[in-house]
Amino acid sequence: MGIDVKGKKKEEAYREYWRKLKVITVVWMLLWTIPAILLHIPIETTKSIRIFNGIPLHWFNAAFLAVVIGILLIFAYAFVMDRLDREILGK
Amino acid sequence: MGLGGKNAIIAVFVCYFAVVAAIASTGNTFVASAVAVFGSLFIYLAVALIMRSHAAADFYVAGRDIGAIPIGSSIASNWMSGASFVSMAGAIALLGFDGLPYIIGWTLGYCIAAFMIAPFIRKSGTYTVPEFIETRAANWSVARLIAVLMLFIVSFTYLTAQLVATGVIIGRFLGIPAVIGAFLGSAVVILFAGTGGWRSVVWVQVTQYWILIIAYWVAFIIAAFAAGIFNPWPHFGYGELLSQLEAREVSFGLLPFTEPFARAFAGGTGQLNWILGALVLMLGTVGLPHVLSQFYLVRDVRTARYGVGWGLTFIALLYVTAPVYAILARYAFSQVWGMPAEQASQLGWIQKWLPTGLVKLNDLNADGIIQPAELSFHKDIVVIGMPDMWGLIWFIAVIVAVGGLAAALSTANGLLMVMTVGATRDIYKRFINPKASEIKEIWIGRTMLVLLAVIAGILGSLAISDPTFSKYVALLVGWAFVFATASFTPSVILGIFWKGLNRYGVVAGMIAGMAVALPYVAGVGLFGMEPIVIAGNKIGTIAWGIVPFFVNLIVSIIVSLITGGEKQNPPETIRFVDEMKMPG
Repeated sequence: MGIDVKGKKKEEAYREYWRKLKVITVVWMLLWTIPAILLHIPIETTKSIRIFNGIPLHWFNAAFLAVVIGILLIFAYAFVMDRLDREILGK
Repeated sequence: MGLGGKNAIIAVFVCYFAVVAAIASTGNTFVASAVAVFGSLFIYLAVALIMRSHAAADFYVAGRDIGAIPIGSSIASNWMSGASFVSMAGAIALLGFDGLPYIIGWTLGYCIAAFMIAPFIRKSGTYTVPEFIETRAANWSVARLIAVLMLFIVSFTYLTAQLVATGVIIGRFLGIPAVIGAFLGSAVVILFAGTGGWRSVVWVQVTQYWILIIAYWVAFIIAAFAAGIFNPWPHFGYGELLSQLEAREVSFGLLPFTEPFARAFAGGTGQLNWILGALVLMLGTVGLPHVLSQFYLVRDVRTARYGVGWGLTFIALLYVTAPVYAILARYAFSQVWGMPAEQASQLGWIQKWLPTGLVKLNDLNADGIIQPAELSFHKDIVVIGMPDMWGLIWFIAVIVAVGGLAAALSTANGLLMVMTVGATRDIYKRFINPKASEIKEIWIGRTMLVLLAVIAGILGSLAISDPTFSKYVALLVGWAFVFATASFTPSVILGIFWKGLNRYGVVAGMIAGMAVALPYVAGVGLFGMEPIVIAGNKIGTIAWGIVPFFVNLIVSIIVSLITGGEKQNPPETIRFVDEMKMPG
């Protein structure tokens, strides 16, 4: 990576980093609303859908799927932020 | 940790299993159980001793040198209390779908921690949450005092509940009074934490995590196998069992188990209460001081991010299993419905647990047949009694006891450390003797530790012997989430992401949040006030927390802007915020 991390340029690079970080944070918090809220709104529909031989979807969403989505979101965030850190630090 | 330390810990484990197996092979199951339960305490003590150190930074923040997978296990066992282990599956067995806010609410908060809090807290370079708040409030001691007061209120109630759980578990399995069990629990955590502060506690927590999760899963896997839900895997394989259970419930005139919004959650009803309740548990999780403090211990920012991911993964191993546990237990209960009362009272697990009062069998209408309403159960029976319900071999029950004890002790330890560091660093070193030497600081820390543990032990045994006091403790633990949502969570997030927040804004926000939270939860939870109804949804005490959360945010912003906003902040506060925004 050819970013010159000295003086003014360094400051600019850090400001750019923080701008990107804020965008990533907003995107990930929006994605978080899927397991935390959105998945549990259409209950009337999901409760009549049965999967895996009889588990109602509204139950499975809250008892399993939402938590797994949460885990995947955190690891995806860590991966993306890690890459951004390396990019800016030129490692 | 060094290779020598690792080998020593493995050697301790091997000795433990050898001794327990040797005693069990003589056929004396009671002695084997007692040795297994108490022996596990020696394992933790050995780990604490092996990992101990004498530097203040090790005592306060474990030398800031914990890797991602160890901190993940430590986060998980610090988080999962005796109640998570023993009672959560039971709460779901009682509440059905309406108990699931506990599952998503007590897990998805870690997403907020990962995206908005943990990496920045680590980068801040502070040692404690009150220190963070004070530094962010331009070194205003008032902010630190309010924060440390909140920390003590929240952590003390929580610790009391842990010692109650410890006392009950030790008491239940070994037949000694639970009051003594609670004191024993507090003595044990003093030993773990006193040896090396956070550094010892983290590695004890890591050990306890793996013990508790293996215990939870061993009983679960064997029960799942007995129930035939390995098609192909229990977490997806219970469909048929659930259908049978629900058909049986309907035939007895009950609502099906997975029917949504049929039962109350934290005093509220309806979908809005369900969703808001879950959200407040999430927001509250990340504002609890003993959860936040864990983020100080990691090696670097990268480890903070991945560590939270591992933390949630390890928590999920228990939390996505609890609902299946609940269904297995409820299915076992449903088999008793319609049974002649005579025959039901002969069942092995009912005979075993009837004297404890965890199961109650009462043929109310005297027709000789057990109706669903005539078989009542305490939520703790689901995990504790599972091995008996599905006819598992005796030592499974011992494994479950050791696991439950590990869960209660690991959380108690984390809480005790948070309060000890708070008392030492945020009160003694900040206000009483700022020039204390490192050695003196650690000794003050140890003294505080013993003092706090003894007080919590007294409160814990009081809660066991006095049902009214115990009711207040249980209520307060639920409210802790509302209080954290009203105070720490919005202040910390705003403090990281908005430079305009100044000292008056922080303090006004926390006070306003608490002022909105307290009257409602006390009124509805304690004094029988009618909850507010929005579009047919009763808003329970936990769901209410969303209101003080936004009140804190809005008051913080308005007060900061009125009092000069960013300009009010001295250059060092601006620098403090800027440093948190640096990469790496």
